Amino acid sequence: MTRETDRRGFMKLCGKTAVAAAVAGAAVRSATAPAFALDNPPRARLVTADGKPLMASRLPMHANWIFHYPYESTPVLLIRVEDPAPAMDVEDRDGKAYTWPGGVGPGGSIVAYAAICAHALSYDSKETSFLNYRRKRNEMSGHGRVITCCAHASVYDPAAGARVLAGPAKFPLAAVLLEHDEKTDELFATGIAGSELYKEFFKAYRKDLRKEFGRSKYRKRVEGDVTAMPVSGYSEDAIEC
Amino acid sequence: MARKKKTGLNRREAIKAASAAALGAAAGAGAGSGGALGAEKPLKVRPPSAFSRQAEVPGFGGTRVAVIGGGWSGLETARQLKKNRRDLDVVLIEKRASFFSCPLSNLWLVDRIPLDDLTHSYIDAAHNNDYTWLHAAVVDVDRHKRVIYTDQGWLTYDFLVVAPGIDYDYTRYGVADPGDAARLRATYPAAFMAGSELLTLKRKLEEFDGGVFVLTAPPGNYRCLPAPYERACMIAGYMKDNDIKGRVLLLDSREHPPFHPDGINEAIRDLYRRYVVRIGGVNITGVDIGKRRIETEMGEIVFTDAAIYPPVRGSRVLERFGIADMKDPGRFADIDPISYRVRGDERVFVGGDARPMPFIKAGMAANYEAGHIARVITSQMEGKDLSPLSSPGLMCYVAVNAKPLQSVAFKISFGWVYDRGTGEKRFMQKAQAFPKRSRSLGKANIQWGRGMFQEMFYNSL
Repeated sequence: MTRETDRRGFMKLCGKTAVAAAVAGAAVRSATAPAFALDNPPRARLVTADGKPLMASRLPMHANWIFHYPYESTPVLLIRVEDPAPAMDVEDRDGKAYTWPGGVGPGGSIVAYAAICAHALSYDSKETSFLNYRRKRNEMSGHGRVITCCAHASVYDPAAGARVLAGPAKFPLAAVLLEHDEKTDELFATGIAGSELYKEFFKAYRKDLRKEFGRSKYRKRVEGDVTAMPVSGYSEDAIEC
Repeated sequence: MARKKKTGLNRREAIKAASAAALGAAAGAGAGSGGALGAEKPLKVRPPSAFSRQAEVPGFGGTRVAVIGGGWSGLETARQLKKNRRDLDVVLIEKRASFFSCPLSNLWLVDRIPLDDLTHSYIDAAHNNDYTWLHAAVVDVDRHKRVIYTDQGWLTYDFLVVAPGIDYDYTRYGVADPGDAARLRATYPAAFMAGSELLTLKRKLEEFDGGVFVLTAPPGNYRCLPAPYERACMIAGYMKDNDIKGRVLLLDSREHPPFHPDGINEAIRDLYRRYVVRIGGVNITGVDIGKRRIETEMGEIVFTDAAIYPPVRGSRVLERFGIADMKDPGRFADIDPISYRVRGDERVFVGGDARPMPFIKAGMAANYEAGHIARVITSQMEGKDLSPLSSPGLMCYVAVNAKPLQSVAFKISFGWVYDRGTGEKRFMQKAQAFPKRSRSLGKANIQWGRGMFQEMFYNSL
């Protein structure tokens, strides 16, 4: 039997069980699909726990809020800093420069970053939030108005593209791009800039994420509205350090 | 058949005879079996055949950097070397079948974390970080020919990083005879070299029915300075939790602990006053294993069970490779403390707890330092110089309450600074204490380890 007939025989066999094969094929495809395709990011409107749009002007000063984007399980810190945060260039994990577009909303003061530490992937979960923004001077980091990851004391500047201020992290947290609708005062998450670590994140915490968000839902992209709330309301323990 | 029977009888008879005519009979039995073996023809000594063949590593022609030792230092060195230069042929040589972490192990001792957190696969580490793991024990290194001899064959190297860790030095506890030292180590293991010692300590704890459990904190720069205190708290917590009428007796060679002790002292005072007794300034001069007695300059201490932590020294393989500092009583590596290079050998480096420098011997320090050593090596390949090591603030957690888990923390930075007074580089270590114990720090303590394991074994950021 030649290789060709072999193949034909196989095709025939497939024809008989077409539906099953298609299903199997789809399963294989989704299992090997890239963890994240940046080229088509979802557009999500931020809403509060009651389902109403989050008004940018109502986001309290020094807010340490959380929502999930671009996947159902990937946490993002939503922060309102005191002063306008202008656009600036920062470097990604490969040392390549990219432009962080700066804050949006009132006074350009609302910013958002993936709450997945760029050092060793600690993150904000329902049980414990290791990354938090605090106005007051952190005991551990010695800095105020910064995002600190309490696991290894990496410190990021939210007003400057989350560049690293201290600790073992070597590159900024991935920035979540925001859009502010001046007419309605609504906020939208529209994409990611910088070093996204979702592939690594899923690899590291798949077991926990499956439990918390559902077997496959954890890597489903968000659609429509996403709920934003204070970290203290989301997490049992928003760690201070 | 006949021989088997004979040995079986030998033992039984020996015990029987021992009760009748004690010593003489036992000695006779020993001599008898020795004589039977001695009658055989002596074997001709031959080098093992492993030496004559090449170890099976998928060499691909690039510059090879071999790393001996897969602990916190070696694992991170291998990973960082590949991160710096993908074209390097990095081979990590480790004799253990799987990794077992010493950091976090005190938490596992009292079931605060599962064993899964501590044990990891070298296959995963090598696969995820794109280097080769050679599962072999290194027997010798020929630095002139740049050949490493292992029980799995030989391999050559262009650069070599030796990260073998520590060994125990029982002579400084007055146990000079190697046989006695081995017996002491087997009976009351220190459990500061991970693996079986820790498994034994956990079993001892679970079998402990009451009495005095002795821990010791040796003199010198021992591995993980606050760990004996953390262990005292965890064991005390276990006793308290299980209603065991026991006490942890912590014998510290120093009058005062070698770190800011407020948070730990407070926890002992608040939680374990009836369970932990610390005696400072204890100079141990001998151990009587049979009588379960520690001899000190202050007198004798009788215990029920113990984990006796002796002073540490550089791993003995350093001497074997000819790179130990024989003038140093600790026999640590003879390296230039700035470049980590073995003196007189541009191609060999030593990292991790075998280093002679005075900074802390702990996983997080070895981990950070490893990145520096990897950069020293790749910079050297490119003919560039690298500024000396200077670490950011690195977190070190110490669990002080077993249930609920609460920890205190230290932020430690170390490295070389320029001294304006002398115009030379001077070594500096700074520690900031976070003495207020909390559940938050307890959680951070666990996450600290999980993050590090992620980094070393699964996700290379």
